[in-house]
Amino acid sequence: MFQKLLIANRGEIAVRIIRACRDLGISPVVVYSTADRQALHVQLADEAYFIGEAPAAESYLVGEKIIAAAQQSGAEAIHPGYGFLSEREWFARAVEDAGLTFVGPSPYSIALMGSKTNAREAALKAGAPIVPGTANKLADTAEAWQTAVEVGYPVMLKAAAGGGGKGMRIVRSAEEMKSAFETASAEAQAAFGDPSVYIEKYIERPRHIEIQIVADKHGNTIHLGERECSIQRRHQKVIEECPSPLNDSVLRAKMGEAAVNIAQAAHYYSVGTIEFLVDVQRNFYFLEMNTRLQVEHPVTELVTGIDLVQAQIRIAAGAVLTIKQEDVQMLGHAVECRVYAEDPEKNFLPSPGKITKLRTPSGPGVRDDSGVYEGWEVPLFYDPMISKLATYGATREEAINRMQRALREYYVGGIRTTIPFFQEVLDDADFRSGEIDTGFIARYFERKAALPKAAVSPELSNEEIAAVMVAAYDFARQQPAAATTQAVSKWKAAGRSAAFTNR
Amino acid sequence: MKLLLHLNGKALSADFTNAEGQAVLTSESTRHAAYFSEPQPGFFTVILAGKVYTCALEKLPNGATEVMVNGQRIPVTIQDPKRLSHNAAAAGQAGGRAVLTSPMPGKIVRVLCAAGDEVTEGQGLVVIEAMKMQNEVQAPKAGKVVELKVTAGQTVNAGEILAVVE
Repeated sequence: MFQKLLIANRGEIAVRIIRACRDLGISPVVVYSTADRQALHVQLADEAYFIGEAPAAESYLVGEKIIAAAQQSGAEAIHPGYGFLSEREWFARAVEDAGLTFVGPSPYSIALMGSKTNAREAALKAGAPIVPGTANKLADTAEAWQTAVEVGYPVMLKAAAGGGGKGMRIVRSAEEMKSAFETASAEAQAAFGDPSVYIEKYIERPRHIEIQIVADKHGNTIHLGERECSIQRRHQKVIEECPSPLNDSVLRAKMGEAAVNIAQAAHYYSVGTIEFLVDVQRNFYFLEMNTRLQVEHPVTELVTGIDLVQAQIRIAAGAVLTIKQEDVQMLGHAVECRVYAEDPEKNFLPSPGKITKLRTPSGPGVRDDSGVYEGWEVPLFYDPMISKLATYGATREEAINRMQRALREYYVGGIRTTIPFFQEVLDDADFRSGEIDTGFIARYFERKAALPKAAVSPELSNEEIAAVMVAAYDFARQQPAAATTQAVSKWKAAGRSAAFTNR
Repeated sequence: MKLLLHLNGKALSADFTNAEGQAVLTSESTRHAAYFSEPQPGFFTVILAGKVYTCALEKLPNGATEVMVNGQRIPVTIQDPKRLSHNAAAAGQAGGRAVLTSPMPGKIVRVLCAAGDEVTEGQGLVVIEAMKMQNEVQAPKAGKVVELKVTAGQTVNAGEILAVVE
């Protein structure tokens, strides 16, 4: 095992890895930028090395500085966390060339699974289903008709040159194809300067379900079941859970086997995640592989009892997996909410700034993986996630109830966070019943917008009375010596007292 | 003390007293009594007819006050009626003049207009970036950009004036 490990990251994930290091008896070393001099990860580490200015391009993305810090400290391994350099083949290679261990997969696996086309091919070779269609550019409407019949309606036309919804059209029948093909091409031309489009099977109301993989350097690969990550906003996951509300052991076994096959085809070791889309008939299709630790790893840890960060470090050190597939047990249910410094009332605008007050939740089944503290100024240079709040329960209902309780206990002052948004979503009937897919958040906002505006009641609610009392109390104590109302002029007082005694 | 209050679209006058944890708010001839305490600086417990309301007081950089009550955010504006005259004058906005302020701290990545430009309502004027996200600040009304206070590359605080449209 390593004596010393350098963490090439910041924020809550750096703190999470520091904790895993301590649990394994490893001395944690961190790096930091100008903006992070007072960050929590620096305070919790044994050693900290300054690597540059606040913009990530001058600090957390500069591989040479990070490797130099590792060599200076005598660390034997580098953990990249997620984001930043975690999926850069050149960095993994540079770490190994420097004689250090990269806590992650091989540069080969990162490169292979990092390319969409190569990953698709690897999945196909491993016998895993992929979204039907071709990446071939369509010549004309005739070819579009023919391909659509082969793939089966409904299909999706997608711009070959881009993404972000531009040049995308759902086509449900042959009659719709001609006009859809023309508008998609025109949009693609306008947006990307290239009119080429291709066809993919359109999956209605897909769920995003992913399988956690753990593989050692000796050819042992297992999966730790699934996570449901369908609650997404702008293609960003915001609530994850384990297991999926589908909780289908047959589907889990099938997806798990496919994921293990894909990982083995990529000669993968370390922890990793295979993402799938699942349609309403419970068919699943390979989407992509994340060759790193995943943000939502705590929900799998809570349900399987396996510490994924520790496992990842042990594997990097060459350990053989001590658990077999049949030893993996999923017990209970876990939910995670990503607490972002964003204002849900202002269309999730970033809300960096000083955390003036902080109360964090605790009690049975609550885990708060945070990277901040009261008094910390959330910098505007990095990702807005300040904490991952996870709860565990015997059932999904208990896990969700506990999440609501924890969110109620959670208070972050000075900046806006997504906590109030989660409180609303967790009350939603569709979420409660597990009827979720990747379109959930969009539909949720449509429903909310369609609600009639509540009329302003002339009566004060109890909440409003409490708010007014607090505001009035604060207002009163700020008045200079309460000269206006409470203090009575000494002349008047003397006069009154005289009048009283003279009576 | 007597106060003028604005909250959730309501305007009311009220009288507030607090003596040894017994708070009384009288508004529109209705009297509300509560046990009132500040167990930690900025955190309050208000017990109204046995019901507990956990409150956190939040002072915004622009001077506004918000109270979070059991997870519900309630902005409250308070005025001392005796000082109302000059407060009201300060609060008044010159008609036809729209001041564009930054919705968040960040860096100006692009300025899409120049002083003197005629702009339409909703037209993007400035693009601000924070936390890897870009946001376009739009003209609140049609008119002429009479003042432009920022240039690309500069950092701004929340509430800082970006431009004035008249």
